[in-house]
Amino acid sequence: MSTATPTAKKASGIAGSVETEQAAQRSPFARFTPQQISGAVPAVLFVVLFVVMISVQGQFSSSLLQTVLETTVPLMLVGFGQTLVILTRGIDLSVGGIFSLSTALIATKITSDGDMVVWIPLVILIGLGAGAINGLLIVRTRMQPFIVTLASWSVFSGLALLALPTEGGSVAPGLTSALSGSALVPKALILALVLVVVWIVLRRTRFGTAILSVGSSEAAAKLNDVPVDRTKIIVYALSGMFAALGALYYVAVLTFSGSPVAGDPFILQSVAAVVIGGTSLAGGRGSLIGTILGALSLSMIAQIVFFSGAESYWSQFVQGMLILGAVLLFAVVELVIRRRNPNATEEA
Amino acid sequence: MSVATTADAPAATPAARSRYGESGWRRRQTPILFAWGLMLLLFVVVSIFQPGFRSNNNIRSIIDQSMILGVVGLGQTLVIICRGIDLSVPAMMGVAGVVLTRHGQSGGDVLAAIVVIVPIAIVLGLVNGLSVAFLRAPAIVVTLATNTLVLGALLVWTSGAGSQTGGAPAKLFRTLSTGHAGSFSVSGIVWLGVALVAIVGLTATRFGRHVYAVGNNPVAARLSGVSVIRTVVSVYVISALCSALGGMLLAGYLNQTFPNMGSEYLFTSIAVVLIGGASILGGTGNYAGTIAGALTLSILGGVLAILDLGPAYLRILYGVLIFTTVGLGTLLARRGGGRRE
Repeated sequence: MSTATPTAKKASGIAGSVETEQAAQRSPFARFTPQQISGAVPAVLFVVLFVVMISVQGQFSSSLLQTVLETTVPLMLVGFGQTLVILTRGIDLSVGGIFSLSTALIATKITSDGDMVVWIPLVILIGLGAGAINGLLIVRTRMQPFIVTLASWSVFSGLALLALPTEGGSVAPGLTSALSGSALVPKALILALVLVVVWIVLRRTRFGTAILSVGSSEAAAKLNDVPVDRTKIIVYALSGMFAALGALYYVAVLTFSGSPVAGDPFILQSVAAVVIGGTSLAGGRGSLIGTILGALSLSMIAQIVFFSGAESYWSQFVQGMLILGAVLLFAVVELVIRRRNPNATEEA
Repeated sequence: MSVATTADAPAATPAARSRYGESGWRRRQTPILFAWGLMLLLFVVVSIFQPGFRSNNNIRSIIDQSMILGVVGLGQTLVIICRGIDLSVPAMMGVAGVVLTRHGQSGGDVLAAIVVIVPIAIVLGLVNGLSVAFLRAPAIVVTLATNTLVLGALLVWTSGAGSQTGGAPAKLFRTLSTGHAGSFSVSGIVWLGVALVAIVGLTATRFGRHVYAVGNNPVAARLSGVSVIRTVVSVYVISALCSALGGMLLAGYLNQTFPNMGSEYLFTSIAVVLIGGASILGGTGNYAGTIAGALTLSILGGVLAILDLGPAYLRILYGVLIFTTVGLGTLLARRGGGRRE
């Protein structure tokens, strides 16, 4: 990230390069790279909210940690898939439908321990397949991801209503005991750490670089022989799979029953967690660790509101403020990047 | 004034003629004609099998149902033409409905309610529009955040009451949304007025041309003297005002209000614009298409009610409908040498 170079000055014919340079120097962000800022914001936010939560509750206990983690795991999982999709400059609104459909299937099909062998892999496969359909439609028809996943959200949530018309069903006790509680440390913590490790490994694979390069510039990725279409299909398929995994945990640990509309809040929340986590909606830049911190921040707000004795609807208000604050802050950061580097193509 | 002429006269250059010329016009209208054709076909087919469907009463109820969606969809149409998206529709509808009934209960003063509602809508539109246009924040996240924020504030204000605010709204909005004058539905007359203003405003005014110019290419629009920021901000303010009107009409239609009353419109307001032939990439679309989209959704709802099929099938059909209309539109645009993917 060099400040205005001679070529950059030449390119910024409209804005006036002197002004541009001054703006870059005046800016309080000037000393930091965008990567540092988008990494620091969710981390600082997480620490602040964590401290507030502890002080509101009065003490730190491992059961508090477990509650926070367990209520966040479904959002972490859905957010993992959403992060991958947004990194390719897409968006997946169908996670809500796939999540709902999965809870409906789990609550009606996995009711005894014997069902688990067949139906757990089947539910995960259905999620994977549903996501792959999204990816195929986006790649083959060249329709916008927003439209494809909005339409398929509608279809999948309709299917969820067919599978389970009203809230209900039950879940095999074996599944619950396998996922909930704590052995030495809370199992949810282990799951979160596994996700982080998966991300760190994934980022170093060829597939990981393909995701980032598709998001940065599809044309450049194509020129460099990155399999753009295949990468996109896999990313949407994984997003569907993670939505199904999130539903599995949600039913087994949190609700013990299915709901045909359970997934809908996860559409907006997963996008919110990704954005708070510093991943850019313009694609190509971001981190899953940020998403996990963003998801934890959102659910810690709910805990803080709960412990402070305020009514639960306050948490929606505070969460809205947080999302708006985060998106505006990152928008300013992007503006500063664009001023520093006017060569970067303007979104036209 | 010179600013306007530069922006208004792209047809003067030969390069632009192909895009704004007759064949381009026809190509851009095809999805809208398709939407109307689909709607009429659906109506005729159902009427053949179910003669009661074309009765005066049923047509009136179809119009009553789609009018609110049509009003909310007007704002969404403008925003989508300008390359944006407005997800804060449900919150604004909830605020408008709940405020209307609160004031209606204590004296029935509609004007007092409107004096509260309109400034809220303008502020919401300004926050959305300025964040998108000035700070270049992604519209989808900004409006999602303001939706959460405003809905949260509304829940705090009503103490989280789900149905406690269930008082009937002022009679005026009951009449506007469900009344009828002779064999005409009042909502149809209201909608016709809104539609005329919208279509004339979009096609025959400078503001309308600016909306399309910004949607087609914001950089080119700015270079030819269009104030992109002012256009985008206006569009979000209009959308918030449309949602506010829609919320008040919905209060009248349902004869009760609650904070989440607008939640369905998050999806349907976008769906009608897409079915109506607008591209999510901006620059194309027309309110006439949105009208057809809104009527189509109501007719589909009516058909499923006749067939005794539940909301599950409605959702699946909505999805399939969006796939087919947008898919076809994309195909037509590509075959016609369109620059959109």
